Amino acid sequence: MVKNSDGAEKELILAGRFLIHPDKPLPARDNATASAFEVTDKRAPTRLMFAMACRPGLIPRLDIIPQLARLMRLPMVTPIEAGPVAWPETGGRRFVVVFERLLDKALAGNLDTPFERLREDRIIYNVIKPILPVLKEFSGRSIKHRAIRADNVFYTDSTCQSVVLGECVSGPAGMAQPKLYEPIDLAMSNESGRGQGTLADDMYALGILIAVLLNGGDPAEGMSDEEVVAGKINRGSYSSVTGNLQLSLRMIEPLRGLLCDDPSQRWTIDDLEMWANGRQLSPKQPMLPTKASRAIIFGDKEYMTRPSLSHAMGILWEQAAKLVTSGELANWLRRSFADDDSAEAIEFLVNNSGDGRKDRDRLISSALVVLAPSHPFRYREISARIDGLTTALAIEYRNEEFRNSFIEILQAGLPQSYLKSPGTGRRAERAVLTKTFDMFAYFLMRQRLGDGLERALYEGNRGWPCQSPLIADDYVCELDDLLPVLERKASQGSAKEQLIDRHIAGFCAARSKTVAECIAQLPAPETNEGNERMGILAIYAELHRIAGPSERYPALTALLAATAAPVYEGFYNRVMRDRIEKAVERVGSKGDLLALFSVLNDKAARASDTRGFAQARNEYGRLENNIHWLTEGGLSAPEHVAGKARQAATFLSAMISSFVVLALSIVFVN
Amino acid sequence: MTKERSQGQTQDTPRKASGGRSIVTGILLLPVVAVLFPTCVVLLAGMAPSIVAYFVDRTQGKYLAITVALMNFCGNLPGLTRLWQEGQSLEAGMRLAADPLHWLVSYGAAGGGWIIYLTVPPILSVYYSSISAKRIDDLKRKQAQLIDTWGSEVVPGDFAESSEKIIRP
Repeated sequence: MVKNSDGAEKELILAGRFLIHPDKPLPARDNATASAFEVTDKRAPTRLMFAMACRPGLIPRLDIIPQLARLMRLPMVTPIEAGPVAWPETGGRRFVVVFERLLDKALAGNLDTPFERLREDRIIYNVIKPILPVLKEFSGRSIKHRAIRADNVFYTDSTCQSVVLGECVSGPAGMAQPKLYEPIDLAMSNESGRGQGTLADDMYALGILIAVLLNGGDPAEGMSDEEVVAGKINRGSYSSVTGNLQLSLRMIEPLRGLLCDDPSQRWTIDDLEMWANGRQLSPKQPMLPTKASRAIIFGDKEYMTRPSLSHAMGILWEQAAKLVTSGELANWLRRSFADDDSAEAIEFLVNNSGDGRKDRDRLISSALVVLAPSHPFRYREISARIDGLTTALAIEYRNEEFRNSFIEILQAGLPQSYLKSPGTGRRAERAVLTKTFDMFAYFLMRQRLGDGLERALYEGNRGWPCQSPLIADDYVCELDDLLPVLERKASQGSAKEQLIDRHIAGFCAARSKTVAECIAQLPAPETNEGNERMGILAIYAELHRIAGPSERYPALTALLAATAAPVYEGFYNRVMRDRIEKAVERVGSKGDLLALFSVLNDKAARASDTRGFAQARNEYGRLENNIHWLTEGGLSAPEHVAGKARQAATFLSAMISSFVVLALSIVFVN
Repeated sequence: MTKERSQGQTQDTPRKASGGRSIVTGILLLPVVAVLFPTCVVLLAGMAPSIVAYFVDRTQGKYLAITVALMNFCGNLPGLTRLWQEGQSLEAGMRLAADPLHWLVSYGAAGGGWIIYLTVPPILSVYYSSISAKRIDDLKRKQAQLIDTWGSEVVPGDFAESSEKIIRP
């Protein structure tokens, strides 16, 4: 039980069954993306459980939760239930994933805390062997764990004889991993831009885990993250991580294989399994980057390899431009590596670049790809594996600087250029990603409602909740959830007239083709309010149809009905207008958005109204002309009166004389 | 010159035709005048106001002349009746000419015709003014009904200003 902002006690219940205790945290299971809390299963109160509540602004890996929930027999912590829960302490809702809880004892705490070194045999039999079937199962299902680290592997019993792999779904893939556990390109990337990762990344993390367990703590203790990354680049991962370790010949073999910096040469699950079963494999030789015949000076330091210079240029971004534009970089590549192709590519980029800030940034980004194609995509503060760019956009969306940089890279087509470069991934993946970024650029080009960066955000992140300020805290991930949330907002009075914004439009357009068509038909803002309202109604009617026409949304319908005045005020005929207004009032209270739309979208009435109006306008003009004629003396003008008077006088005279003749005739005859 | 002459010729032709018709009519009437000489003399003298009106009236259709002539003729009828009763002789005609009542009735009736001709226009003017006002009211009422039904948008742009005048009352 927790107290909400009003002081009232409220239970946090997921799926009507799992009671979450925010007042009982489990710090041992916290990670960078989520916090852990105790949970009580109402159906089985003795069952030990815990929940990971995602950090606001992040969502769990919704795509793999249903699959993992079925893998109950594997030695890993599997999710049981997941969903958004109203969180009274912070307001809004947080996404919560509930897991079975065994022991809270991890192999190690965080990297800063030393622990007792594990013996080699225990590492093999108590750690590697239990983890292997999990990785095998994951590999078969194309799932990546991306959270293999010492503080996320837990003992299952107090004798510490067996372990289970910790959860991996409470945040974006790999986001909670320290840089030590990541291969070079991911360690160079922002945490938000690591993408889904690969099985090779999991194998690398397993290699680091082995090294950590052998060392009894962080093998790179005392080094900053940047130094760790620089060490991996300069000396290779194996050398930099195991430099201080006394390794037996038996352990050198897997560590060299797992910490190989070339993912294609890295040990696979089969290699590791064979080794764990006693087969001897030839140890991989560490692959170090080619050294230059002479160093290049950049930022007061000397660099002998292309990757190390690329890494430094990515960090010292503003200084990198001079190195590129001065021709120094091209000359270094030509003279020290005899790499004319790269040198010419750099020169071509320099010759075709402008002098503006954006041109300079584009030039550096492109030059870095030429310099080290295996490194992540970089542009100013963005550093991400190319498939992680879309996730990075979602996570960093509220960072305006990031957003602007993202827009710039899309406008310049830099991700597509990166993907054209050899050595930046497999061809099939590159084709899919190129198509995705082309689509993003198209959305960005169109700034109408339902397009723009918002559309790109939701198209690129299918499970990402709608970020509209109206519903951002409600974790609306699916289209079906949108109307119930808006209904709640409308009933609470927090939803005002503006029921659709760029985020809601982008979210809906990304989730449904038919809604996207409705949004595309919206008129340009401030052209015709009635048509705009009608367009919004069409969108909500379509959402209602998708969510199920039998559902009712009385508050939302009433709100939309109240804002529909400009629609029926578009009718000229007041009688028709009154009739529609009454029909809107009647339907507005029933919660049927489809009926409301139907009432307002009476095309026959609209055509009749337009026709009648045209006729009335003509009639008015005719009457006005008549009035004008009369006012100008059409009847009472002296000429007209004189003419008519002459005729009238003659007629009167004729009448009198006829009467006199008749009278005299009568008198004379008598 | 040729053109002017031809125009002059075309203008003269109807005059000549009209003059010819008058001569023919005069010749045909001569026997009637000969038989009804006393009546014609009395009538010619009694219809003098109409003859004057004919020459005074410059309007097309000669409405003044007709109006005065009709009344003038009515004024002459009692005198003519008496003449015929007395045998339509020159003596009876002279007696009638010497009767001031006959002239009073005859010329008074012509004067009545003149009065009719002069008084009808102002009366008709008042009548037409009132009719116009009523029709304008009716038309404005219809316009107001159109505005009630269709809104002020029904007023075409050219008439918008005048429509405001209609709506205000």
